[in-house]
Formats: sequence, C-alpha cells, structure tokens
Amino acid sequence: MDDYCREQERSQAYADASGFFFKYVENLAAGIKQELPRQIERASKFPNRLPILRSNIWTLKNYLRLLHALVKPAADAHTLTIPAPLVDLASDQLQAVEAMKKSTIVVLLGSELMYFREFSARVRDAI
Amino acid sequence: MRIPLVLGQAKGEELHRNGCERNPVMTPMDLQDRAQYLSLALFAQQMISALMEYADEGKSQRLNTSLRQALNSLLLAKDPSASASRKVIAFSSYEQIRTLEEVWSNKDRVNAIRMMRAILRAPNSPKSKEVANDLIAMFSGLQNQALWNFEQPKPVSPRVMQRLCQLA
Repeated sequence: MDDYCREQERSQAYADASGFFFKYVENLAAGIKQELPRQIERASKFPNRLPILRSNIWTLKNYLRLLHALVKPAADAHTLTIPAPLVDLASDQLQAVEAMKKSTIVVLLGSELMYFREFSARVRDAI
Repeated sequence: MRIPLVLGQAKGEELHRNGCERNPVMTPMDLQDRAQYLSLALFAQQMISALMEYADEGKSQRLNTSLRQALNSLLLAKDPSASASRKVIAFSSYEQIRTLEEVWSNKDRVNAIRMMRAILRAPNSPKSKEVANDLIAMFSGLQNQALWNFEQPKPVSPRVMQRLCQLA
C-alpha cells in the first residue's frame, strides 16, 4: 500500500489534501513495518502476551484494510474535474468547527456519497 | 491530526478468523460505523501497550497520560452532556459505548476506574503491577470485542434509533 501511495505521489502532482492523505498512508505503513519486529521481539521475550500481541497486530491490519478501501478511490478522483473553490469553501467551513480545525477534505471517486471521519492520531499513538 | 474524507467506495478483502469466514465486503455506507469500532480497538491497544511496558519492563513513560485519558473517558461516558463539552478520546459514540456495554458490566467499569486510580496513586508499588495485569486482561477483552464488531457491525435497531433521535 505504501508503494502504491509513493507511486501516486511520483506520478501525479497532488497539491491538495489527497497528497497529504497519500503521505499519511505511506508514513503509517512505514511505521507499522517498523513496529512489527518490535512486536515479534516482545512476543519472544514475553510468550504469555502472545494472544494480546496477536490482537494488536489484527487491529493494525484492520486499520490498513480500512485505508486500503479509500486509497484507490482517492487516486481515481484525481482524474475528475473537481470544483476546487467549492471544496476549499467546505474545508474552511469544516475547520471553523471546534475540534475540527486541522481537518481536511479528500475527494474520493465512488458510487455513493458518504462522510468518513477517523481519529488518525490514535494509530500514530498506538504504535 | 484528523482526516475527514468525503465520498467512498470500498471493496474489502475476504477475512478468515478462527477458521470462520467473516463479512467479506466493507461497504461504503458502514465505513464510518466500522471506523468507530476500530478507533476503540486502537484506544484499547494504546492502553494495553502502556500497561504492558509498565508491568513487564517497569517503564512508565506513557502510563500516566494513558491512564488519565482512559479514566476521563470512562467517567465522562456516564455523562453525555459533559463529554459534549470536553475532549474525550474514547466512548464518545454510539458504537463505542455499545461495545463497552457488551464487554464490561457496570461493576467492571467501577472496578476499572478503581484499578486505574490505584496505579496512578502508587505506581511504584509491586501490587500495582498485579493490578496492571488485571487491567490488561480487561482492555484486551474490550479490544477483541471492538475487533469483532468491526468485522460484524450490527445495524442500529429502529427502537434504539428512535431513542437516539429523542435524545438528540
């Protein structure tokens, strides 16, 4: 997944939130890759923790799985003619809401309209 | 750092757990609900990691902050009006509170609060490490249930939806 995101960054000029999103996924995937040996080392040192460590890995895998569902639609959306001023306006409105000041909008190409919000900092803190 | 996203099409992979086939497709409409369960699992994982570092290796750098965050979230989960005005890192959504109620009884919650306070009060006590192990088991149960619900999200029943609308 990080390879795909890196490829997207190389092949397209993302100046918007999509670029930030791909960079985030790339960094997250790299962080998880670094975390895995640490989890294995802990499992060797403390075998009694194995079931818990397995659940930890499962959680991280599911987070990657969730992001995986969004990466391709984000890349596909790059081919669209997006009403950038409208998206910027929506983004500004969103950031005016307390607790969403650092929020950005990534446009995805999909068959349904939806809204997704995730506290991504939690993953960073968990690993 | 929060990333709100607009528009989504999801195609999940087929998953197998304990030899059983799980919900194979992550549909766009339930991505948000599923993210809530996953967010709770990540919160539990964060707690477990801090507690394991403390119980197994005697490291307590992350312990204080993690315990206080969990304590605040648990206390505020009982009072929705307070949580609306304060920042909580868990138990702030319907999905997360439902998962909590599935795993922890009211007595468990009171016990968890008591245990967290005991560790915060005396982090150097050997007894606190035993308490930390009990807490690890509790948060592990919470993480597993959150992961289970992530795989098998249950729709909100019309009766509960009606109640939520009345509360809003």
